[in-house]
Amino acid sequence: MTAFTFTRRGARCPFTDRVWPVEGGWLADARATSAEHLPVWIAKELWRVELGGQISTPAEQTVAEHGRLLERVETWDRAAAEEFVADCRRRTLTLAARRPGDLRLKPMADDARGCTTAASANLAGWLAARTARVLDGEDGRAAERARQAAWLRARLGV
Amino acid sequence: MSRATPHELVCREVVELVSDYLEGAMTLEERARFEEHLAMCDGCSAYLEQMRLTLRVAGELRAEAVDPHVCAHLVDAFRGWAQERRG
Repeated sequence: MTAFTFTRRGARCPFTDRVWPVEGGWLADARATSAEHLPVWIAKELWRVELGGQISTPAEQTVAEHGRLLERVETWDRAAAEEFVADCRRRTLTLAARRPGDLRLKPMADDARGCTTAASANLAGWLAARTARVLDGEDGRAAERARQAAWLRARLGV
Repeated sequence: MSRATPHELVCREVVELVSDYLEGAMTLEERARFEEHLAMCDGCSAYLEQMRLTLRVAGELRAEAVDPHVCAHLVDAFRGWAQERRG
């Protein structure tokens, strides 16, 4: 099956410090994501990957016995990340404005205002999802993540 | 970043679980939740990197490479710390 994975610069895994082979070699215990959970795992580089062996989907992650890079998704770049940050910042502030007196929402809105660079893309998405959860429960969080995923798929063409 | 949903870990929990993570002692579900927090929290990502680096450096250290005076000082410090914890 094919999926996606976000990495640090140079195809380095964000958590394990391992590097995906860029010449098509297989990486054991590969962490990836389906398109619907892209916003949860946002990092510097986005790759399309092939997964093989036993595959499972714990939480919002896709884990495979092994995986290999197919191609870099070049449309995920600094400009796209900055647009995503701006979109999620607006979303958080719009949601928080629905209940101006709710003290649970103010810290999220404050943090969202501080999300201004591409590096804060993951956090910006999380803040919008968290704000939606405070307002509308787990359904609200899931809907907001789905909205973000749709935004990314449309913007990146994946 | 420690405001989390019931399914999400907070920073304090990540700090407590980092050894389990590095030793591969988590279930896939626990590991995914742990990594989900790391993905959005720069502070905990940096902490994990520091722990990984510490383990790497400490693993390269040989007993004979430690100055005997430094070794004695460290042993005394550890004994004092252990006694304090026992009260």
